Amino acid sequence: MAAMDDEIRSILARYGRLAVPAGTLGEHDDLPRVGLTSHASVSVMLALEDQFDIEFPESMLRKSTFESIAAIRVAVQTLLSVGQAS
Amino acid sequence: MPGEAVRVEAGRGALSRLALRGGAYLTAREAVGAGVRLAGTLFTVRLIGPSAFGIYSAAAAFTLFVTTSAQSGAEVFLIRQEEEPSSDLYAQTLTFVLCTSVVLSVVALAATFVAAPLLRPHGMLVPLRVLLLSVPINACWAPAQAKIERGFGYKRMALLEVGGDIALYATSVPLAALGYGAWSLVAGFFAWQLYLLVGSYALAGLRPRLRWSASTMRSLFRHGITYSSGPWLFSLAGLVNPLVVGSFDGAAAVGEVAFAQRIAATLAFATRGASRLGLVAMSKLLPDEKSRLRFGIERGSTLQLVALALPFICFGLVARPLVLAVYGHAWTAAVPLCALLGLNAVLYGPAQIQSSVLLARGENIRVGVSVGISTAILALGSLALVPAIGAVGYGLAAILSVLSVVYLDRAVRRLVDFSYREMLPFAIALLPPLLAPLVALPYEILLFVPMAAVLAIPRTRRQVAGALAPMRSLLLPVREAPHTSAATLLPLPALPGRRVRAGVDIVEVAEVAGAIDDFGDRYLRRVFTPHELSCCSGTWAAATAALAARFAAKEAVLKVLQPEGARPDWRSIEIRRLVGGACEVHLTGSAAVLAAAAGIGEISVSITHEAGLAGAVAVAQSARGWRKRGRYGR
Repeated sequence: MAAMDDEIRSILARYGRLAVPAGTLGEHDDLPRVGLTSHASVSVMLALEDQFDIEFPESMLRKSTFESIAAIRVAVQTLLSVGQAS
Repeated sequence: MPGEAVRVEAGRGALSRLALRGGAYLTAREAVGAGVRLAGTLFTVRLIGPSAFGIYSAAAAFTLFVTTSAQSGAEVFLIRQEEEPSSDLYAQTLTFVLCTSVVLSVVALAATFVAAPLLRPHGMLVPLRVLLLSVPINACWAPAQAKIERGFGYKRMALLEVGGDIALYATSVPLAALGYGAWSLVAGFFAWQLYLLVGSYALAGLRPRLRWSASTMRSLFRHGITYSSGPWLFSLAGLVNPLVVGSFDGAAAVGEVAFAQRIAATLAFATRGASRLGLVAMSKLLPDEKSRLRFGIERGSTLQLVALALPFICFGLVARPLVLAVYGHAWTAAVPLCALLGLNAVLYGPAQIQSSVLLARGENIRVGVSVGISTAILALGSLALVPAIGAVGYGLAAILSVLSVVYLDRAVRRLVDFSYREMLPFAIALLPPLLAPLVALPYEILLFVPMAAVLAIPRTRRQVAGALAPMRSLLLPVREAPHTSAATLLPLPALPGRRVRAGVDIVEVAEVAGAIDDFGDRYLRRVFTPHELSCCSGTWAAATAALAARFAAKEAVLKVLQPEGARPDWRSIEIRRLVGGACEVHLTGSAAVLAAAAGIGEISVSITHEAGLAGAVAVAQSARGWRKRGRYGR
């Protein structure tokens, strides 16, 4: 879980255009409040897809999906488990 | 979008910094290319002088004509394929352009031997024959260029363009300094085309292959006849200078005309975006498409005239000392031609708006006819005037060729009636000063009397101020958002029992450019529809700004729709471009379901982009009010 959080932090640092260093973020910190714009969240989503070999379906395109590192982790884990099950 | 709220709270200073950062990122690429071209042209033109430049320009004009005919719009053919073309189709297209370019260059070479005594200016024959050998090189990179453009490889296109310019001038400038005259530019031209050929296939990842298919050849031929008539007529107009001016006034005069044409093309940069201002600012306030179209033509023509005239007037005031200092004494004879071709460019500005209207309606043939009329007037006028008064006769004939606007005017009036009344005071004020380089100093001031009169009369002064109002958005692109509301932007009265919903969004153009760089086609196809992508072509800066504006519009529409759960796919909110430049929203899938549930019929949207930022406002009337706890309502 920590490894996945680090990967998510690294993607946020690269594509999130945040106002603070991604390494300083707690897992429940509100990402939009630290500058994650809706457009940056598209880049983050595409980078997550590349990193974890997943694809975000329309049903997961919610503000809540990208509101914190923990929320992103849950979304990625859900998609990974769906991928493994199929 | 909370991120947006952070920006708004940060106020104008933060927004300005963002604008500067985004603008700097995007303009850097354009600036490098423009800088290389400007410096290269300056050095070569100054070093080789008018006669050698005239010989090269004449040979290049003939070569361009043959190349345009050989390419037959093959690149556009590939770009317009709905599905990604197969490697076989690329190979067949390469075979087609190779065949046409070899056949046409052989025919053109043979023609130079048959018509040698008639070809002018003197000294052009051998450089022309050598340049004609470059036609297959020039034509054959079209398939690779099409592949790059289809994949929105703007970064690669920019690399090709800047690299090509460097190859051209890195070859021609040293040779010009060594005294090789016109040959320095001929050698530069070959270096340029070879770089583009090798570079485009390498950057496109396309292996050049030949493959014959009779049916594809027929399709390409038919397409070429239909679509390439416009570029072909333009390149035909380019032959008037060498053929007429070269015959009667020699190579130096051809060089002076070509020099003036380059100056005019450089100064015409300001037309970009000028006509857009009026459309974006006002078009959505008008009740129907015809009104928007009429407004677009009238305001667009006026702004086009102003945006073109001002740089030419400024240049005209300092033309003589500037040309003398920068290009040298040999080029001062070209100054009157610069003034005449400047006047031609300004007079032709409104016609560009009318051509755009016709092209958007698919009336390509009418635009082609107007180009044909313009070319015929230019050729006949030059034949009549150049023998009597020299190269200046070409400039006067160019002004006469603006009469082709009458045909365009008639063609557009079949669609919508419009008036030149708004443009008139600007024409009275701005056209006479364009002739300043032709008049000696004390009398030059008289050319500004009509401008003073227009500004002195209260009625025309108000007219000028009214038409220029949208220009303020150019000068003040970043505004304080907290005081802006739907009511102040669009005074739409809500129907009884309905509520007005508004959404606004702003996106840094650099963010979109970065996403294209990082994710390329995957990002573009995930966020934008094929229609949106087809609307966002042109230079890297223009295309990324247009895409950013569309993304902002999608987000603004999303705020109007106020989804409580999953947000609709970006592609289910399509921003469609209308004739005249305005946009409309087309919803599909879950976005359409959300709109229906909220009792929203039509959503109005207005987009803009400037100085590295793109913004959009969306407004709709809903059968329901704002959600009290909606996430998108903040």
